[in-house]
Amino acid sequence: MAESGDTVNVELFDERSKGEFRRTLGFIGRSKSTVVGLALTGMFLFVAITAPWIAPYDPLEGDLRDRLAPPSVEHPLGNDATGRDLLSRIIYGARTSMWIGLTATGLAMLVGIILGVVSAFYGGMWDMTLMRLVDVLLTFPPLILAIALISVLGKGTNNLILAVSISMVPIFARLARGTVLAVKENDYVMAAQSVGASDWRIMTRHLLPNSWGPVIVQATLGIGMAVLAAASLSFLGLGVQPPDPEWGSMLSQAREYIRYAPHFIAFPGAVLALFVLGFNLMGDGLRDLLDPKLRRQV
Amino acid sequence: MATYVIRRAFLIIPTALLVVTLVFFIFRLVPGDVARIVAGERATEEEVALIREQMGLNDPIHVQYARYLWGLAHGDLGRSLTYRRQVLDEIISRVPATLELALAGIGVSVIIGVGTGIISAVKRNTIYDYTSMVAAISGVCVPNFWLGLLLIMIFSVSLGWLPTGGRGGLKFLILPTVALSARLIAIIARLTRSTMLEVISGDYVRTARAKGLNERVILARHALRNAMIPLVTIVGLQFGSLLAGSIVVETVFAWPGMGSLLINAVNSRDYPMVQGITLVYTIAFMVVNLLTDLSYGFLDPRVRLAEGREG
Amino acid sequence: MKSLKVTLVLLVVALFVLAACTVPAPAPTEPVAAEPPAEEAAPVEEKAPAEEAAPEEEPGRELVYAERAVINQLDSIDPRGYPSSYETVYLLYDQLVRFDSNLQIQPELAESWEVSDDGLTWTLNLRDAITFHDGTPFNAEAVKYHVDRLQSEDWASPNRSLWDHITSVEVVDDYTVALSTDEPFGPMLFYMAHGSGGIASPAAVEEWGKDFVEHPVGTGPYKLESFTPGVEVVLVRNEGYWGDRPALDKITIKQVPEAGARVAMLETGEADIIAEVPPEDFERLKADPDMDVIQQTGLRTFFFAYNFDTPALQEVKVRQALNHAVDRDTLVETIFLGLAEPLNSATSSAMPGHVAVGGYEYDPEKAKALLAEAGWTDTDGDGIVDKDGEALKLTILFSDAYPKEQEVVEAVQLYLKDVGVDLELWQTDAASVRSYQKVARNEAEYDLVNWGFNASNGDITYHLESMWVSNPDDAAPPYRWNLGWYSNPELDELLADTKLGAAAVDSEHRAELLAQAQETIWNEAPHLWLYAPDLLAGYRTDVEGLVVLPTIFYNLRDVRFAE
Repeated sequence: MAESGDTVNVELFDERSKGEFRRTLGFIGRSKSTVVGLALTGMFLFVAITAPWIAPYDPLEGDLRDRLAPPSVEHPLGNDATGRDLLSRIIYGARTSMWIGLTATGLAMLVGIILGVVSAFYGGMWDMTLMRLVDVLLTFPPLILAIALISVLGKGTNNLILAVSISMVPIFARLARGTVLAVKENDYVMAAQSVGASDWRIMTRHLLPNSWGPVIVQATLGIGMAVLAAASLSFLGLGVQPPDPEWGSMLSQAREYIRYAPHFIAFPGAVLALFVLGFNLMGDGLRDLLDPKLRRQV
Repeated sequence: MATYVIRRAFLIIPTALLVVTLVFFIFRLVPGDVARIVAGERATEEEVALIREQMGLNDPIHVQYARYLWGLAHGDLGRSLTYRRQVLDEIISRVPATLELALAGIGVSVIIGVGTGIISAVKRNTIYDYTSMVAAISGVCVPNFWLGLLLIMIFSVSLGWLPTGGRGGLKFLILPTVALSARLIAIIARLTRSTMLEVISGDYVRTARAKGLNERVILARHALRNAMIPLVTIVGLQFGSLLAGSIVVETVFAWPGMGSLLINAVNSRDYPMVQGITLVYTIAFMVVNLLTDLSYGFLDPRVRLAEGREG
Repeated sequence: MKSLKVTLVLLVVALFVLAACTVPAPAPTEPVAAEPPAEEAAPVEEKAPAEEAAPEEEPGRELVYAERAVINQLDSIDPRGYPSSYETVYLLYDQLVRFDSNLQIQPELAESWEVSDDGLTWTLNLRDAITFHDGTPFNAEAVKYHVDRLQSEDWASPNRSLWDHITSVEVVDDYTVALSTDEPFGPMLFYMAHGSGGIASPAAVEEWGKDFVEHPVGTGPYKLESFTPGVEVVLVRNEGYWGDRPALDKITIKQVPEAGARVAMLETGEADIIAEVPPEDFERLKADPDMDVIQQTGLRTFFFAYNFDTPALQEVKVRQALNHAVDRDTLVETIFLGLAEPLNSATSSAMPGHVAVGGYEYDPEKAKALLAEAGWTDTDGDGIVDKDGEALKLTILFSDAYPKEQEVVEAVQLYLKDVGVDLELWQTDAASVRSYQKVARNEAEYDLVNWGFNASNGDITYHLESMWVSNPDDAAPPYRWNLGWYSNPELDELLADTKLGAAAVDSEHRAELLAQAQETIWNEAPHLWLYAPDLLAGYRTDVEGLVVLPTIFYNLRDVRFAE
């Protein structure tokens, strides 16, 4: 999988990359699901960024008299238990989820990659102890670790992000370690070493750039996972606290009124599903894209 | 063979020890005064101090750790702060419910997942295949608590066919099982389909066909057998996810298992209970992982042979 | 090889089939269905003292009561699991005197009583020939033992303040006991009618010690069969009961914290009585021929208590302003669907002695004006009023202990925002909220705290004193329920006069003093007044005799099934 292109002729690289780009687009275009994934994630990203401008109402404002009202002209998705506009809350919920997803995954990536690269590069004792630690984290069933952490640290968005990212660290650590191990023995690395390049330089300029593929794929999938976990925890009351809008905690509030306000249950959940779907499809698409075996078929 | 099993079994001991230690330290992170929470708000300073002494919180950390390990070895997970009973007793009373749900979930997932996957593979690229795969993709993305709520909305509230929650006979089990297994069904279906596809076009199947064997026999003997290997692995790998899902599903359906006990305990700051349940879930998960590993060895002759060669 | 895999698959299938078809053994969490048509002959109970059920006796049947609270302890001096722990205590124990549904005092273990001329001694004549569930006799010694326990430091009963006006208990003879006070104590009987007055068996207390909380023994119509704390309590008929034969064979009190689940249980008949019907289900259940709902004005009042150590809240205009900012009527109409009453006094209208003081109509402009008078205006145009550079930001502590609590808090947050006050939400869980609420002076981390108070002895002085009498000790948590550390020495004296001394006995004078007290409190606004919810008890129509007290407790002592 190692590409030796980074030390070779710059012009050739340019030409190739243009062709690559076009071929990549074609590949993506051929896969319907990836397009859907891209569209969804793009939409959510857009909504998250522009929330303050596109949301029709303040997500924290509401009129009690509109309590649990079904969809209407003024409130296309209806109102929640305090009379707040559901559409606006869902829009801001996208912002919350995007923030949580990106931050938790970003943190997990940072820590995980460092652990994985160091572990794979130095091997020996480093490898054993670090990976032992990572394994221990992996021994916990997914939500359990987060629940345990939140129970001692307390509820709230920040602790939620912390707990979710800690549970995701092992995935990135293992991944980084795996790809680095595969690349470590390559010629140019040994060449760099024999020339006397520092460990740091080798790690950042050679190992990391060639591992980014699977990491990006995992990160994309990870965002979906993180948001799903965060929503589950918020649904259980352990995550984002009222009155902040978050899809999972909205569903938890909606549950009490399941008989009387089906819209309150349907919409936040549907949006959450679409969010996860988008990132999953995009992650799958990226994986296919970056997998040389499949690329050749294009 | 035996050495393989024994070796794998022993490997989990250091990991288990690390897990148990990590749990110990996580629950030492509790901000604020655990003794005060136990003593209650009416307690005076002396009473709180007394309780702190009784709980052994004044001892140095390694003494507390030793006591904790000693307790674990004797099945003493501490005393629940809300229920005034042994944590272990409370957990044991809830295990049957969680087990019922988990087994039903796995069973349904395997049956429906494998079935769907096989049919999808055989009827490849037909409308059936297409719809199943779309359903499968959604199954992975649909949050289980939302699915649970939708099921309640449709089948309990609107149609009145099934109860909204609680545990009892078969009809109480249906909705929670569906909510819990949706994701795993999807994963198994996709997996079965792809392994079946791979296998169907594989060499030895072509050979079998060339030999003139019945199509169905081919499927059943060769294709299915090979599709089973990753199935066991996947179920084992997804068991953790299933456990996590069961916690949420139990909460949605007021299913009296360990999961709802856990959430109650977190909400009432019953740290010994949270700690105990965390340990139980984790140990269960570890054991299942070990069994999965071992069964993988059984099922895939290549693994066994490799080990065997090593003596 | 192949057979192994097939076996594996078959095993999984078999496990599934097993799991699905398993009829779970009667675990404590199993619903005990009380099927209406079946009638059972009264079973002979396991405990020895029971008599054989005579053939002419009416069959009793089993009742299931689904309620919300986690019942942990059943010692009458400190029942845990409010309010249903008290409801269970009502069934297990008898009291010296008891309230009826109109909050009138009725004799129970005490047949009659006299007050001495100086008003200082109450002599109670007790019924004889009554035994506790464990067979030991009920007598004056038992009463003394009980009151001693209530007053003891060792047992630390939270209800001690209801009994510490009694300075001595004298056993005159086996069935006569004299209780003395330092000053004439008007509401003496009301205090004795509190749930903590359920007399417990001294022998059982001696035997179990602190574990008595899980092994309660009283003289009540029902006795304990099993107790799974946090899950359910199972009571069976006390065959040796001194009064009318208890109508039910068995009562199962199940904890079902989710309102929707309780309603479902009532609809399927799994439960015969349920507590706290949600307002939105009220009409539907009432309309159903198989079910009905009791609607009763409650004594429990809900409000936000102001923390008097918060500088901004020390100014009465600010406290009053916030009261004008909230539209109580709309709150009650939308969240409670009219099944609550907006407060117009410190007490609800069901409280004997209640006076409608009124005022604090919804008027955001007035609220803003009052704030301005106190120096709070929006000088920097950010929507929040400020003073001397500081914005008016207040934190409110709440949990999920009460129905609709979160929605009420969020709604009030919006109302306060309209007048420029920034309310920050701090939600904890029901179990630990108390440890944050009731703390020593200056240790409170909140500016407002949401909660509801119910004078569970039906006495208005108790209600007013509990919340507004000055706390005696700064270094300790509030003595009773004055969470905000409000202090008005004149009010203290006024309230004392309504229960102690000669004035207490003169009902007209007492009523005057109480009216005065209520006005003072209302105008001083130590609380952001909200509402008093109606008590909504759901029951199946074949159940008779359910009484819902204004003190929010359900009295199941006389419940029976219609024939």
